[in-house]
Formats: sequence, C-alpha cells, structure tokens
Amino acid sequence: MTDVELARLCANGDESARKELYTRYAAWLYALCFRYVGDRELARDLMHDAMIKIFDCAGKYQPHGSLKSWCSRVTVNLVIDHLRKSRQMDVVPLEESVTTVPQPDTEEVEKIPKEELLRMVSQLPPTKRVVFNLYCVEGYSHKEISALLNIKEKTSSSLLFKARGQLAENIKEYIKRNGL
Amino acid sequence: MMNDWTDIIGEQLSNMSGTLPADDWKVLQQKYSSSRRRARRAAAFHWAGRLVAAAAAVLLIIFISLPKENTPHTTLIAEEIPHSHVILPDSCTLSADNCSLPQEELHPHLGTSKATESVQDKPSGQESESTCSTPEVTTDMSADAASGTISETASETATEAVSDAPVKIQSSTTPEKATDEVDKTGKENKYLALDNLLEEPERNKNRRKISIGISGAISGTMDMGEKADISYGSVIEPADSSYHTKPAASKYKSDRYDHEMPVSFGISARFHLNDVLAVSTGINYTKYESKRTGYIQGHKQSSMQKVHYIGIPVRFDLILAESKNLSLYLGAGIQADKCLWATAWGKTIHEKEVLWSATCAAGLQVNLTPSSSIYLEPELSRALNTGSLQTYRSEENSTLYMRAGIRFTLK
Repeated sequence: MTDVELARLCANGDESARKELYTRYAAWLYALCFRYVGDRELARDLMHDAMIKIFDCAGKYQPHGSLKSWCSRVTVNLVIDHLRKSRQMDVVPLEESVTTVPQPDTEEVEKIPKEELLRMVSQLPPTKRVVFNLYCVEGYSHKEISALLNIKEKTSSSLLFKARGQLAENIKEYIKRNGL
Repeated sequence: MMNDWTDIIGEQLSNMSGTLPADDWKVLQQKYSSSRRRARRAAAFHWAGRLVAAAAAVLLIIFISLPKENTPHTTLIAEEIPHSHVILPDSCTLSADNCSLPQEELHPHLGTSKATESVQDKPSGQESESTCSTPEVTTDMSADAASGTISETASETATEAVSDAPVKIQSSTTPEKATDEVDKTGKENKYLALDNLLEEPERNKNRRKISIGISGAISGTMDMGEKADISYGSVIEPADSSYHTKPAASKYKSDRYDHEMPVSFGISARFHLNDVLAVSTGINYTKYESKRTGYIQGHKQSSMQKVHYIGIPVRFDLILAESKNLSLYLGAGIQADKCLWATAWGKTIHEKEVLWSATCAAGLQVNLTPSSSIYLEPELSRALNTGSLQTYRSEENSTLYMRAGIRFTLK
C-alpha cells in the first residue's frame, strides 16, 4: 500500500489502515519521543497523542515527502509543544561559560551501542537535547530551529555547541569506563 | 570534518525503534475513542452556541421590524364625551400664534384635570368666560364614537382683528345619560373615568423590578483547532511540592494534565434600573477537574485534581428588545473567583489568589408566567489572571459558557 493510499484510508476512518500505520511507525515514533523527553512512559503517552493527531489529520498529508517524514514532523511539533507548556524550554543564557572538550573519534562513537547513545542524548538538558535532536537527527537547519523554538539562530548554534561538548564528555567517560 | 561523530550519532538514532508492550494498540484505540467523544462534545457545544447566537440575532431582527401598535390617543372615545363649543368674539382671529387659550380648554376631551374640572364646573348650557386675544371662531369639538376620532371644525372664518373680548365657552352634552351622571354623582369626575379609558404609554414599567434566578452552565473551549482534540498541559512541580504525595524514591519532574470541561451553578439577583438597563449579581460555583499524570524513571502515576471556586459576578444588562413573552438582552461585567478547596494526589492544595475575569453575555428570556421565566445565556469569559494551579482556566484564556436557568420576578 502506498503512502498516499494509506493516508487516504486513515482519513476515511479505515480501522485496518490505521492499524497498518501504527504497525509501520509507532515504535519509531516512540523512540523519537523518548529522544526528546527522556522518560519512557511520557514518551509512550506522547506517541499515542501523536498517533491520534496523525489519524485525524491524515487527510492533510501531501505526497511531497514520505509519510514517515510527515509523521515525524507532526510528532516533533507535538513534543515541542508539550515541552514548552511544561516550561522545560527555558533558554540557557549565552553568558554561560563553555569549556572546550576534545572531540571523540568516529571509530570510538561507532563502537558505542545505540541504546547507550540514546540514553546519553536523553540525559542532556531539555533545551540542548531538543536542539541537538532537531539539528543532528532530524536534519533541521539553525534557521528552521530558531523559527520552531522562537529563538535566535545564534542561540540555536550556541545550544548545539554546548550539547556537543556535553555529549563528548559523556562519550569519553563511557569509553574510559568500558575500556573501548 | 567537524560534524563527523555527531553525524554518526544522528544516523544511528534516526533509524532506531523502541519496544512497545503487546497491548499498546488496544490502549491507543481506547484513547482515540475517548478523544473522539471529547471532540464531538466540543463540536456540539460550539454548534449549539452558534445556533443560539443565530436565533437571538433573528429574534432581534424580528423584534425591531415588528410594526408598532397604534398610539392610545386615537382609540376608544366614549359616546358620552361632551361637545364643547368655544365661542370667540368677532374680533378674534383664530391662529396658533395668538391664541392664548390653553390647549385643555380648547380640547377638553383630551382631558387633564384642569380641563375636566372646567367642564365639570359648568353645568350643561351654561357659559363661561375667558379672555382670549384670538378672533371670533367657533370650534365644535365632537366625538365620533363610531370612528373613535375627535374632529374639530371651524364654523366661522376668523377675522384678522385681535381683541380682548371675552371668549365664551359653551359646553353641552348631547346624550341625556351623561347629564344624568353628572347630576347623580355630583362631584364625581366622569371625565377622569373617561381618562382611564385612554391608554397612556407605560414609562419605566420595569423600574425597580427585582428577579431572582437559578442557573447551571457547561463550558467549552473557544479553540476548535487541533488543541481541542488533545487537551493537556504540564507544569514542573516546585521544589517544595509539599502539597502532593511523592513517590518514595524521588519527586515528579513534571505533571501532564488532561482537563475536563468545567461546570458551573449559581444563583443570581437582577435589579432593573429602568426599562432598558438592569444590574445583576449573585454567587457562582465552578468546578475544575483534571487528570494529573506524573512520570518518573519509566513509571507513571495518575491522580484527579479537583478545584472548587466560588465567584461573585457583577454584570450590567442592556435589554435590546422586550415583549410580553420574550426578552433579548446583552450583558457585560466582571467576576471574582476564590478557591474554596482543592485536592490532588490525595492531599489538599491551595490557591490563595483571587481570580478575575471579564464576561459578556447575550441572553434570551422566555416568560412562562408573568412572574417566572426561563433563560438561556451564552456567556464568554476572559480570564484576567490565571493563578498558580494548573486548570482548564489556565490553559484556555477564553471560555464559552452555555448558561441556562429559571428566573422569578419578585415585584
């Protein structure tokens, strides 16, 4: 079943189509939510909310991109809205001091399990976590991030720099602890 | 390249899937059904509000375009109304400018007590004198009982000369029974009785009218967008969150809220200042209920938060249109709400702040009996402050209430 057909059937209320959509993308959307909020139960509830919204708004899907990327955008917007309402999106002031940390090698990072990387990312402070996910995982530009989060591009760049620095520290510690 | 290692992280995480429990699809189905029910209720509420507004607008247009009733001055002149002859001297010229006779004496049938007394005091056939600078004109006031009109005919053409000759007023009554009545009652003012037949317009008939009302209301969000489907909000618990039970290991980082539509009940008193303006006040009770879900270390716990407010509204109503059975009005005012008590996580929580809101309403009142009526008031409430507790009110700045009630008029 093509993406367009699946979206059309979901919009019409077809239960089997919705089950198909859930089977295809629910687990992936759950991981996406967990990357942003860092809590499994909250991530699951947000994934449910996102699926409900996707079922209701499936008629708005346009075949410019894949259905998966459209679902991803709907979910990201919903998660960011949740974080904003919960006041977890307080922007870190630019004056915060930044220590330069040696960047890890790509070979070192490749040795680290995915689950561990996911845990490291989910433990970042909320705002840095969101910017890192949007830039490095979802592929948003700083301009798009600033428009989405209502911050300046310079702020987005600064937050990404700090997130990278914190992740680099965590990776170094993990490698040292596990002797990789 | 600078971003190499983050590219690897991004690539690995973007394709990663989580593991969901086996019953997750059933849970999602239940949540979806609940969400649909809530959306249908909100949509029904919205359409009901729009229908009421449209009905009120249609009724208002009908009221405005209805033809007005005939003025009472042209109705029902009794047969006994006497003829009154005003005999002016020859030198008088009748004109509106130089006639100094008061209107009552010229037109005794359109009675004031002065006119009726002047007629009454002069038995049939007698003449009275009054000074008039107008020329001689005899006017014959006659009542046409059939047509119910008063007609005035000038029997003579007025001359141009003005003199101070006295004007003779000769009153006579054509029917015999009128004379008998005057003879019988003596001082009885027959013409006062006739005056009562003439319907004077009732001015300020609603003045000082007091009504007592009992009402109930449900509310809905003004936003019919996607937010209406999933209503939730979160707040970070303060560091000293002593008002809820915390898990043994650690406290919640954030709560997720699912708000229910608030309900409200109240009693009101309405005092009419005049025909078009009334002021109302009373006591309103409003209950806000929300499901709070806390997440900590992969576990979640839910609790119902219930917040009870008591409020005092003050509102001015402008009565747009009113008839025997219907009344349309607009109102605007303010309301102050104070939290009586609130509970969440099995403990009492506090809201010390007084919450203020501005309200405006449109009302449709249907009179069942002269002293009782039912009314429907769509009311829009705009929160001026939100307080510290997270409720439906803090999520939605504007709330539409559909208030219905019964009103009893005391006097």
